[in-house]
Amino acid sequence: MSENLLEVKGLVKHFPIHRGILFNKQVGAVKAVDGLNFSVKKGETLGLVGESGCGKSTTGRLILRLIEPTAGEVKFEGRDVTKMSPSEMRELRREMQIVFQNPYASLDPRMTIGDSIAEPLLVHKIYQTRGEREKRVRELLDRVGLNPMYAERYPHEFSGGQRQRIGIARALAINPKFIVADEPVSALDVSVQAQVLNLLEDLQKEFGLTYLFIAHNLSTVEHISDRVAVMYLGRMVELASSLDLYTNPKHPYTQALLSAVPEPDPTKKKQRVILQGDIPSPVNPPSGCTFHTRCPFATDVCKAEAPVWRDTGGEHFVACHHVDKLVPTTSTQGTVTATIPKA
Amino acid sequence: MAEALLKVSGLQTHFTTEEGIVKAVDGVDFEVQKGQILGIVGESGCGKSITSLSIMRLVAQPQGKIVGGQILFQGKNLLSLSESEMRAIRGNRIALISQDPMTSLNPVLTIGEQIMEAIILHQKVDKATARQKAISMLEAVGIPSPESRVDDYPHQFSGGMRQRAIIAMALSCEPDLLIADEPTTALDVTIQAQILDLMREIRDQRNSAIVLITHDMGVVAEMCDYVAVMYAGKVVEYADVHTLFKNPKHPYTQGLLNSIPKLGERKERLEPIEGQPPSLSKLPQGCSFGPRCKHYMTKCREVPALDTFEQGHLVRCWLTKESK
Repeated sequence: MSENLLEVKGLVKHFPIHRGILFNKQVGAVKAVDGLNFSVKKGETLGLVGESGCGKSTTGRLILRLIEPTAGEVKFEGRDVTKMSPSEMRELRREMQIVFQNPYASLDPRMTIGDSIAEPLLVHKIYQTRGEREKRVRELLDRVGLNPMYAERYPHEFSGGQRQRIGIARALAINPKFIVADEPVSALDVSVQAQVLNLLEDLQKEFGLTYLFIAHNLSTVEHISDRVAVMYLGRMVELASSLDLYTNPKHPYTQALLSAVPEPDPTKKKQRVILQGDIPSPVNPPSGCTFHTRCPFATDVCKAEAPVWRDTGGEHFVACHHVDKLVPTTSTQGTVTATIPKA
Repeated sequence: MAEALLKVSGLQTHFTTEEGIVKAVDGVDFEVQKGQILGIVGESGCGKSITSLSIMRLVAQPQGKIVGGQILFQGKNLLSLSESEMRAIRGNRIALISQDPMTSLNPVLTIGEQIMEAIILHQKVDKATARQKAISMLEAVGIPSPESRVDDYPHQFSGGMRQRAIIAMALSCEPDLLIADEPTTALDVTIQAQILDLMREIRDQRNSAIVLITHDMGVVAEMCDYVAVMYAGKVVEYADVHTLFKNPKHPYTQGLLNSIPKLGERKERLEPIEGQPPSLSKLPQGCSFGPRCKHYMTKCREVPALDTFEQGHLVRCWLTKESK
């Protein structure tokens, strides 16, 4: 087993809600991330999936310490990121970078893309002269499949897919070890998504990168990830190797999520698990297992106690009281559908 | 075959802009029968939404104009109707479900008032009857305790519930044709499954026809009977859903199907379509897909016509014409 690049323990982020102007006081908290434990291995891609508001982007930002965690620790190569001084943090940022979701908002419209890509080189004083930096920018542009001559152009001259390539080039500029990719393809057209996914995979092989790949699209995550973690309302409900998770989903939420994905094959008729109701608010999450309000198998214990996050064998982590009773089945056509166990 | 409920032929909708004429829709042909779901797929800017707005005759005036083609609905050409005749059809015989449930409801009117508006306008009933009807519509689309929720404002509804409310509104006059423009794109996957289920139920129970506009091949495969694939303002392929997925003929359709990761497939590498979709004001000469096509040949400098490849399978490509 390869070593861990990143270890996350008990990570919590509560965003306070304040009321009142004169007597401003905290009246509650949005429990965006509520106790995460996981690790990312060197050289792997860990996929993080979940529906909107489940805390997956917050998790990505907490790891990079773009926002301060409420509690918990994030260890990068054994050092706790959450306790670092600003100068140590700046050092560390050379190792960890992020590719943002929206390629339209994440590039400064008034900087040429060459300047945008060169900025991390400048901040981290990697090259002494302008000439060296420009050479590196051209190299990077070429590597992500753009014409090096484009360095003088502005973001508005590029399409979404090209902008995302620029964002990737910027993240790569200082040779990081670890990249958080927050929904890097969801704003792109379908035919362009595959180009960017392939590019990310090529770069990973070439530079030995480790990715945390955050997305809501399960097919995309399955394709790119070695292991996948599923989040629901600020907590992880399941984490396993990509193959294991998709062929043998153990948590009822994962099963429902997988069965809800429309498949591009009209001959497959899936047996769907349709979840009732909406995702509850993270301000006031349900007691016990937060999924119990929508879970078809919920019992009294689910309402009272939060399930323990445990390894069910072969590093397949699940947080569910009834995990041993739920049996997923594989249909004749090879797709996994969730099963309803006899009560 | 019976006469189609909706038959669109040679539709062209152009916009005048500073950069010249933008041919947003430039050659769209398809038909929909009663009880069928037709999918229109394509990427952003391919003209699929403008097609739906053209059918409703809601294209922004004066910059946008339907300059050619026919839209036959129950045998009548919608393009030759007067505005008041059109108003009697819009929302009544043809209803539109828009993409974004967050912005397509009026925030200062209750959900009930918004549903009642169409009922009172088209069915000439009094307020109390309309309210009863609104409640029963909300119930039909699966809103819990509709008697009290009917007086809620849109912000009190979640995204999935708002989309249900919009569907209730669209269904309130029992239209013959529903046009759903990316009805689930803004929703999470578990909520999407609920809404798609609801739409299938509507089709089965009311035998309505649905035009479903989407960019998601998965949604197409699960929902549609027939599919029209659009690229740069034109329908490039039209077939029944099984033929389209099993035997796609247009290189764009093939590329689209190859480039999406499928659950459980575990492909080593995706096969993307190279290049970018073209800008509609600077379309390449000839076949718009030419510059991205693997099979580009000299012939492609002329625009190919949408021709029958086999019975019920239309393709706009020189390649299929040559192979025949």
